[in-house]
Amino acid sequence: MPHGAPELLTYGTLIVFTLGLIFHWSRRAFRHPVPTEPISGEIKGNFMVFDKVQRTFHWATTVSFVIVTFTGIALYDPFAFEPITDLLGIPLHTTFPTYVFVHVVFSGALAILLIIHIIWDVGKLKGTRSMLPTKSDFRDVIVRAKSLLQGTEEYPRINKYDSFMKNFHLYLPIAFIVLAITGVYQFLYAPWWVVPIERHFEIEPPWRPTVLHDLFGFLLIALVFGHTYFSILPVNRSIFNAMLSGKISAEEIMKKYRLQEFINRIKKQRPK
Amino acid sequence: MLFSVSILFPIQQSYGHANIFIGKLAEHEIAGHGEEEEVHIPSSYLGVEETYTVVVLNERNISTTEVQVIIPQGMELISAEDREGWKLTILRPPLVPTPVLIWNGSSIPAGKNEGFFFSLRNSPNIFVYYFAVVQTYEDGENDVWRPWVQIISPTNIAGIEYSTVAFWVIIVGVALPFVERAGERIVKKNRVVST
Repeated sequence: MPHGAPELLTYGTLIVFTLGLIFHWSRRAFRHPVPTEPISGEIKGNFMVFDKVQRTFHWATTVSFVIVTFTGIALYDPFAFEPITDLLGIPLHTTFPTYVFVHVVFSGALAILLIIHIIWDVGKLKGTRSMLPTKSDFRDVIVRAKSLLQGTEEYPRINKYDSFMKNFHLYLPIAFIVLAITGVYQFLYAPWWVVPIERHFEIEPPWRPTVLHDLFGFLLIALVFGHTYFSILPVNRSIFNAMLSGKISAEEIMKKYRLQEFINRIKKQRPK
Repeated sequence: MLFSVSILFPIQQSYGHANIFIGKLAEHEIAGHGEEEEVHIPSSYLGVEETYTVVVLNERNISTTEVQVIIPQGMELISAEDREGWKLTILRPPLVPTPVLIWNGSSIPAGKNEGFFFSLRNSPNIFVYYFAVVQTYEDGENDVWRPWVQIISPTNIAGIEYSTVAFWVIIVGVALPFVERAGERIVKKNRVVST
């Protein structure tokens, strides 16, 4: 898109992030670091870690996000997207307003899902504390970074949400607010998809909402790729399965989690 | 780096959602793809030296005797080519606000076209830049056209589009955990077989 963010920045963000993931994989795929921090007890049975509302929210958000990303990239760079639309047999250049409509509808769906998430996880489950940083998070990051970069043996156990997950979660509302404001502005006051291409620059205000929308959008896509990568790593299979079934076994918890904090947090949700 | 960009004139820009017709004879430039029309968007990269071609099509029954091209503000004129039979005059600031190229002394017959070449250093700012092209006929009448070029930031490195690089890097990145899983299954299977 000529009046959007430069492609070097947007695609560059995706490339740099993914190269980081490839580096991460190359460093740990054959080493499989194991926690050296001693376990502080023993537990048995299965534990509910994600209830039905949380799981439904997660997968509904995933579907909505995929659709928003698909339509968003088609609008940002239609020429690069042509091979995909040709493969799927769907029109592109003649149907920009349709792509915008779908993009807006599913962005609205994300907004509704976010409201449900806040009501449930913050209001009902009082889960805000689990997303706040703790002292152990900072220590863990340093130890894990040393393990990744220098190959040191020491490796911590983690809390239910580690520092990286918390930072990812922190970015989500920031990105959502910026994307919502810039998206709504474009939709109401700078609808470039309905004016001739040479007039796109004329209707774009000086604070360049399109550029902001593109930059924050692509950073969000990069982080979601990171989230996807970590979720499908074999070492995280148990937590991936927990997002499907809701439960994780004591054996899996004891492999890498800090027991006490984990038990305290899920005590209320223990099903049996 | 030198590229060659043609500002086809008269130009038909077709995006599917807005058609700008400057000359009806440009219809032949559109290639049909079922419901989708091929999009021609004159573009060039910011800051580079670019050779532009303005192709002037004579749509009337009388000859075109003069062509003037007014360079947009922000673009720097490097050079302009003489055409065989045509006399080129270049007007520069402060005589005029922006450089003006005037070709006369020859003619474009009715229904024919002629290309006029010049080199510009593109603006360092991403924007759409309008040329003004004045086509003068032998009866003294003028037609004024405003073709444009969009100046964009580079979209490729060493000829490979950034989007292509991103696509393949992501494919590799997301595939690696699956490769690891497949590897673990094979190792487990072999262990079972050997025990």
